[in-house]
Amino acid sequence: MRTLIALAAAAALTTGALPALAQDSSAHVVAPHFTAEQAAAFSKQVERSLASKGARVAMVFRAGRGRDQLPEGISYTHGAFWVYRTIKTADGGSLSGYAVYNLYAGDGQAWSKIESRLVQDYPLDFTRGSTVNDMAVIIPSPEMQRRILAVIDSPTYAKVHNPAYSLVANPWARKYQNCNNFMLNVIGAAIWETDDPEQITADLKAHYKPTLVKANAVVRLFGPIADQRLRTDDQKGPIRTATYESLAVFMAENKLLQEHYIFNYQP
Amino acid sequence: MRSLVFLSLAIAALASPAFAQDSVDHASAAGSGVSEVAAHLAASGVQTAVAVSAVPASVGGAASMVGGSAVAGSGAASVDGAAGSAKFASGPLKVDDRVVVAPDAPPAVPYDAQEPKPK
Repeated sequence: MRTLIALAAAAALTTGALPALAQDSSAHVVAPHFTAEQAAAFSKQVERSLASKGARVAMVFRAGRGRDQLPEGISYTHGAFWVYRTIKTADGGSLSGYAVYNLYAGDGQAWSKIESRLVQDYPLDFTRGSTVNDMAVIIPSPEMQRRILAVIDSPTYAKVHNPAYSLVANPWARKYQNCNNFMLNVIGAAIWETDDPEQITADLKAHYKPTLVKANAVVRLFGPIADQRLRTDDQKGPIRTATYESLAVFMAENKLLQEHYIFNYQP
Repeated sequence: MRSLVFLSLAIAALASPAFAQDSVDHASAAGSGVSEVAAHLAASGVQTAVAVSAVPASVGGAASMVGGSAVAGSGAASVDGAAGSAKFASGPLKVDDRVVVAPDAPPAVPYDAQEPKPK
């Protein structure tokens, strides 16, 4: 009983630290950090940065948590593809800009918290969820951009999606997926030119080194009580997940990268 | 003794909203309605455009389908530039000044679809 109490108390204490584990992907999140005008300006600044570099496809990451709540080695909590598109508008016109291709988890109201969906929205939706003044950007090499875009515009995009959601999904297993793991699977489909999710997972296990997240056994044991999206039964040993940091390293090491950088909001 | 366990678990449960902060969808979205945002931005002098759809931008000559030739099965991940990629590196792109606002979200209805009654 004593042990149980200790574990329960530890769970209570560690829950306060649970945001540190967050790799959350959320639809229509509005963080109080930016006003709507600032978020609009920030979104346009990021778009112009990408456009100036000729990026037709980029991977952009935001932090939905303060940095003090994130564990060492993880600076961003949500990532998505930004794709240069022609956008048809309600007034019958069209314009050039970026559309954002996300994996979003549900909120328990619109859909289940442990299920994800592929949702396309726009840069403003992305920047409104940021709690900090910077975003991370990965611009793949031109050939990788071409391949990723081909995947996004094909049935492969949906085929590599696994709707079973976990905040810290293991990219070396297929049981769960989060936003970054999904992007990694799209990249895998583009690299190895396959639409077979099992093949992609096998190749990722051979070539991709996930970020290791420090978490103790108590969090693993009691995490599902605190939040059902923290599912770790796909992990063996340390918690492995995909992050901006490990994605950038993977792409750089394999010459899949044009560049990666941190973009700061310019007031 | 038992109550202490429950108390500890209750604290854990109470702490979870902070954890879920970035994941709560429409619930806390005061001011997040798209029409409201578009109106607010317009009133602030920000040029906006309501999107209907995003369609592929033209890329001269670049293939837009996954090719049938699987090049790398289990080898290194690196990919070489193909002819099409040259056209992907065609220099700076143009971005419109208007801020794109997504159309309103669909109505919030229960996600657990019901089984139809057998006739």
